[in-house]
Amino acid sequence: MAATAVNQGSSAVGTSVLALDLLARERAGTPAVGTSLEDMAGELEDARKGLLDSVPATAAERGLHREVISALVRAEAALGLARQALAAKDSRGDTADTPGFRAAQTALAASAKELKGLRQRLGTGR
Amino acid sequence: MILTDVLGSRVTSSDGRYLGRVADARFVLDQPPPGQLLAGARLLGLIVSPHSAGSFMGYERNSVNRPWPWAQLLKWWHRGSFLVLWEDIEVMGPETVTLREGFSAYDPGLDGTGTA
Amino acid sequence: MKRLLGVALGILTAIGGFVDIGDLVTNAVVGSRFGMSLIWVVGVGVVGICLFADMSGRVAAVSGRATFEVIRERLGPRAGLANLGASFFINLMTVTAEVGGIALALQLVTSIHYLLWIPLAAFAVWLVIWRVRFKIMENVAGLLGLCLVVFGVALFLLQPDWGQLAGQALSPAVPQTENAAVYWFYAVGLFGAAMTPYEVFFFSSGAVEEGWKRKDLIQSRINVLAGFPLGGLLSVAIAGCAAVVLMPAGVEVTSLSQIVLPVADAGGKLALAFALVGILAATFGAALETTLSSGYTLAQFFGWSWGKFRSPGRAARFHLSMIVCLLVALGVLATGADPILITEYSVVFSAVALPLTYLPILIVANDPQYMGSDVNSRGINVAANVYLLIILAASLGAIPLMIVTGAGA
Repeated sequence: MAATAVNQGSSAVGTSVLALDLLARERAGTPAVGTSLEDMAGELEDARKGLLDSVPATAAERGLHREVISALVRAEAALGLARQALAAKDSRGDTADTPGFRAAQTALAASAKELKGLRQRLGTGR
Repeated sequence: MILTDVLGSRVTSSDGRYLGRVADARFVLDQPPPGQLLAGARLLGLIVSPHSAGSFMGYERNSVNRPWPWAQLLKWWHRGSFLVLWEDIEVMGPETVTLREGFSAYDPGLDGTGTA
Repeated sequence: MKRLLGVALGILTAIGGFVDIGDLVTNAVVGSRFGMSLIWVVGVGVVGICLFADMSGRVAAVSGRATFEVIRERLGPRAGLANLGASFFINLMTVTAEVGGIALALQLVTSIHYLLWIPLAAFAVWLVIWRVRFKIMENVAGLLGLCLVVFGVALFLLQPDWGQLAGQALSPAVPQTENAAVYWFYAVGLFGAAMTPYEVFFFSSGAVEEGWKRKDLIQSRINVLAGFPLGGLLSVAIAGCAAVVLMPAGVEVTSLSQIVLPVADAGGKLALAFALVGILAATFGAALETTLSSGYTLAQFFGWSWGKFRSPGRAARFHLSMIVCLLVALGVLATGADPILITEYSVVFSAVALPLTYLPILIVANDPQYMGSDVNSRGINVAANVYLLIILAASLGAIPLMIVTGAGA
């Protein structure tokens, strides 16, 4: 269960990193990137809720659940930053090179790394 | 009674022996009666199949034997089936059809070249 | 010259018309999770759809009977009705998925939430079915669908390690991150996406709509034999893009927005625009085809007059049933059900229902009373029998695999 959530979260964060990168390199416009980020926010929420719905059996599992959930929460926060930066870009006509944007990219990269580490530890759960 | 009620019914002989199920009904077109323009379809009889009440899928025609092996399989499915004439049916009940004593079973196959 | 143009147009629309939301989603999902290791299934599916379309097109052209007229005649009313029920249900699911796909594509263009686009998408589908001539409808959607070629271009621009891709494709193996049951589940899904039954309902009914005769058989065969495999190549390109860009990033496709990211990565905004136009055209075209197919199947089974060549007033029940289908699709989507999930289920159920339409067509294509001298040749029968076995295996395996794998989760 935790492995599935990590997998889902890692995929969502990976997509967001890619989408922001495309925006920064002017390879994709805001509608497509914004849609991606919105979809991925849904994915992260799904992953977290799915995990919250399952009851861990052992203490070790409980610890793992807590660890994964906090990683997912951090990922959601990073994605939130990215969506804010995108909204700011949309309304003020900013370039992708603002402090807010860079902060979002850094946070997402950190999340991606964290989830990747968890994924390597847990496998894909398949 | 409509045809759907009859299809799939059990068919027994007059002494209650199970013969099969009604798989199909066969109609003939007569010459139109005097003063009328259209010929009515007349029920000639029922096709009774001992192993399956499913459709013949067109393989009641003797000339059609393709594609291998499905044609052979479907024919085998309906092996032993026969045509009983309307005159040989004693009771056409809601669940079962009873045949008269000494009914004659005809070959259900349709002959012809099979081309339109 | 005119004939040559006709052939070219037919092939081009067949290519553009091959891809629909099922192919888009399934190929991208498979590419992102299995790389090229499931691509062989696209090949198997394309040969199958060519065979099936060839037989049903021939039956329609020679006997003038479309698929469900044949099924009703051969299976009788009761088994025929069960068959209609299953086929119709799956078709309705596909209509829903396609309409949802149009709305998702519009969201990617405008960033307005897809739920707001759904009523407009369904209305536009209805309007085109009501007003636009069959031939124009087909050609415009098919030609615009060709924009999807950009996926192929993108794959080249990405400069992948061709040797590695070819290696995955030619010696397929289950990736370490997946298990065998999931692999085979997606194999069935990919097969169902390539051989969606509606394509055949539509193809055979279209033959009647366009008044094909025996002499048009050669052209229809060329359209099928050239157009579908090239359309299959588009599917492969979609999977390839996902395999090259998304798989290494650990991304598993769950939304339409992910499918276009590799194209943007490779070709920038212009390529993205082409991809979006192509996806819009492909889903819109398929929404038209599936909606018409639901009308065709019902009308053909119940013996109503049907066809776009008649004015709507002369085929009232046919048109009314399509309106009802669109409204049902609208209702399902309005609940917020994820169109991508609906798509994934629809391709699997397509595989489940395939034998129901395939076997009657195979039988009638062999019936000299209908077909005269145009019955299946021996070679086609051998191939058709092999495919019947494949289709049966996919059909029987689909539901157990779906349960075991939790629908590929």
